[in-house]
Amino acid sequence: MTESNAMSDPRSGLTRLLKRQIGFIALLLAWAYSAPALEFNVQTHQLTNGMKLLLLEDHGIPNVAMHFFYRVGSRNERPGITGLSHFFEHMMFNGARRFGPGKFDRAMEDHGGANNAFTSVDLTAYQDWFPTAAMPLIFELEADRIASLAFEPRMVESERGVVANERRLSVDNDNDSLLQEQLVAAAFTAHPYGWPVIGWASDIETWKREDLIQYFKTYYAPNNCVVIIVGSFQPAEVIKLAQRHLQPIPPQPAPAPVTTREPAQLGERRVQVQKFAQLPILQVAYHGPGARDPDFVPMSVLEYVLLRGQSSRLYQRLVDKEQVANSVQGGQSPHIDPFLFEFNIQPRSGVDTGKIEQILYEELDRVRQDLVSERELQKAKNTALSDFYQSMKTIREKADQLGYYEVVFGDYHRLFTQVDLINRVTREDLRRVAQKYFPARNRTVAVLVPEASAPDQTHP
Amino acid sequence: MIMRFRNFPMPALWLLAACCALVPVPGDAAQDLKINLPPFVTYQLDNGMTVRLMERHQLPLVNFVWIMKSGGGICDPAGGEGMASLTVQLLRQGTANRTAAQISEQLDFVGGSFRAEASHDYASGSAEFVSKDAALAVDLLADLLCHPVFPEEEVSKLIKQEVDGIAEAKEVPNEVLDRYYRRLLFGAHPYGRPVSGTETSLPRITREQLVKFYQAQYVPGQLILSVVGDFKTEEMRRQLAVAFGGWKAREAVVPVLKPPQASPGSHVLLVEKPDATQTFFRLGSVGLARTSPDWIPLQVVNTLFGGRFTSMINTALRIDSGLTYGARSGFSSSLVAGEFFIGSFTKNETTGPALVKTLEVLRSLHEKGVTDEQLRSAKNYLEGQFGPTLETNDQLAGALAELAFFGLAPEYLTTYLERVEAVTPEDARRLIREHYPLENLSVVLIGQGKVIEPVAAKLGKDIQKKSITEPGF
Repeated sequence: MTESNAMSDPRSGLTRLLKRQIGFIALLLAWAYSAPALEFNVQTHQLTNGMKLLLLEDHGIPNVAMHFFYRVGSRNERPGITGLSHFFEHMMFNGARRFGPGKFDRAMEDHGGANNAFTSVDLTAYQDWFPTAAMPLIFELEADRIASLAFEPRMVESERGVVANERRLSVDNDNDSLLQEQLVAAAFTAHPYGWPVIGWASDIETWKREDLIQYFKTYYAPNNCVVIIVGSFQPAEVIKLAQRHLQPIPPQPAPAPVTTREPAQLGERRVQVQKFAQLPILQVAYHGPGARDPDFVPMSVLEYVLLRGQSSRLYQRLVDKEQVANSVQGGQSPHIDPFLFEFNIQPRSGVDTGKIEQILYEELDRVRQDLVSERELQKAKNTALSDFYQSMKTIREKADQLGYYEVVFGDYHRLFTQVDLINRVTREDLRRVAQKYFPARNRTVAVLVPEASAPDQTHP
Repeated sequence: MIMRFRNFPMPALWLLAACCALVPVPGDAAQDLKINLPPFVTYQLDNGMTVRLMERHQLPLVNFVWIMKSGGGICDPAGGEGMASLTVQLLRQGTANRTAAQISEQLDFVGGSFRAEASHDYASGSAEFVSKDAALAVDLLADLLCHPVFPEEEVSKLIKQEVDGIAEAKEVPNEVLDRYYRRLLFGAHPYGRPVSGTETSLPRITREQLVKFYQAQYVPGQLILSVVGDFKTEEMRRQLAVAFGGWKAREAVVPVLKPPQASPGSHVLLVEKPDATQTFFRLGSVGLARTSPDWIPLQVVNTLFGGRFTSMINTALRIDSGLTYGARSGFSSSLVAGEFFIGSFTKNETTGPALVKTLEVLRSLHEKGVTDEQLRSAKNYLEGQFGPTLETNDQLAGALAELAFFGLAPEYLTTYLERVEAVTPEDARRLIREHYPLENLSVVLIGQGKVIEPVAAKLGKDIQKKSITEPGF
């Protein structure tokens, strides 16, 4: 992703933009293989209706990234309406009081803007990327749909078709995703992380317009939203626009918190997917820490030791030396509640997945038993830090990172301690978290078993 | 993490491929759309290698992009598809000075990244390092480019991985759709060959052939290297001279590429995938060269037809009908005429209607053309989305290298938006006529046999059929 910003005279912009990516980042002091600190000069502003704004000036290019992060994702759903958060993400583009169906995108693109949106288990994000001059329009567009989204039955039905197609594309026609859906469903018995973000097919087919209206009222309240604005603008002007367009939208009672905790796993679980395929797939997942858990950062560093780069332990063992796998990927990503640390392995043809499992477990036993070397730890930290900085090169990426840290980690300031936390991880930390999270009883194993032919019926 | 996106992320084609722009307000004709690039120098080493250096000190990072002009898939011998791709991937798997393990260890220890791949036109790579490691980066890069040794065991390992990789890709129709499409569209022309190689071509390739390929194709005179980031130009020049200066000039074997011609009549290729719940399709014809004067104006028309969310094709197939999750059209950026394509996918039951609709939209483009308002909107869009295409070091490094590859002057970039702005309704009409053919189309469908076969007859007389499990494309 890339993107950017700018108000004032947009046209001279690129010059400025390219000349002086001023901004932001970081007092990247000497990168002494230790700790360049990172600090953005973020300004916050709370509207009277509870909507929070995070503003970061960055005049590198004459554009703005304005991202709306709603604190709603599939973890807020229940059986029967799984996938509704994601469906909403689509419906938000299908018309409101002033800007009818299709008008939101058209107005935005007519004025040089573009957008995307995504839904995760924890949040739903709407990303607007536009030249600074379009800022007032973007506020009008966003305010219109937050204040008065229409739920036209015709649009609901058409979008239902789009999402069903998306599911076919990204799950049914993608063996990795299909297997992962089963893996996650097996790993979680109680917590809503167990169902897929896109929802089960039968829920997509049957949720009702009333479900949508209720969901919207509860979760799309301004007090359930953080707006991150990064780019070339004057903060005072932006706050004025927000007060004018967004502040009048009334707040709603805070949504009920998600209180379910996944009980400790008591033994290994195994699932199989039998399907027409040329190659098997192996996925192994362990319950890991949530983003706000102090163990999260050590586990991230351990991820680098095991999985990142061709010199990582699992790549070396599985792909390079024993050559039983074509690729090995995975790791953890930040979640509000404890999620999974996953290994996704593409076996080489003709290789028994049991053999790969055995090697994987040997390697996990090694990090549970022995300390990694100092150099290996340093390498992992260096790469982790490098990736961290590289994840914030553009105004879009900065906006996403700020939003993620605010919503998932609980506070955007947490972003600025990440470097220090990575630097403080010790070899003992790695062994300790490996022992805590990688016992056999804590894992779920999923195998895609290829079948030579497809059933005559497509997906019964 | 599990995420669902509303749209596909835009393809990260280097720079001005298809999407972006500066800012004019609608209805407000542009005044100053001149783009000022940060200063950069271009020079050649004695051995003929082209270098471009641009200092940018905002972040302590240095980015490298290199293009080996004679290293692309078009240099693969017929039957030896995959050689260019294997060669470029093997650069990091052992040199005269470092083993593969040492290279990985060095890269990973400093948190550096290195990617390399072949396209039809060229082989290329990119690398990113923290600026304090710039000297190491230059040394490593030169070692990989000038002294690879292609260890036997790395060759055979990679070949096996690549063969499996094709099987893996064939599980995901979108991954392989273009390879089938190119085969159908370009036939025996080198653009029709799969750069990845095939299940049958790859295992036949030997280490000796790769060494020969490398020696014939990787020469300093064909190398473009651009470096953008936090360094001092004089110091970088010196480091590059030391690292690459000893690489001896040689003549490369550069094939003369004729522009491909669309063969008369419509051609249909059905690829059977028995477990498909959707049909994936791509149709179109031979497009234009990247250096064509029409390339930039065509971005304006294609924005309207199939280059953004509210485009005609996405409106018809997604927004208005829910037939698909996404539909788009585009032109590949190529040395000689590349591909023009329209692509989408739909559930099995709506395969016929989706294809009919696609052809209708194409016809309607010819019948209705585009309005002044639409042109204004497309220009705004390209201008408003341009900034983000040149925001980072790697984007700028890619742009500089790409311009050098295509022989385009820097003005190509700095006047890009002026040329977008200059497109007239007459231009648009001509561009539609010349670049969106209604006849002699090539059509590829991947899906269940019983779903796609009945549709095929309506699309053309020349119908080929193959199973997705058959080797090749």
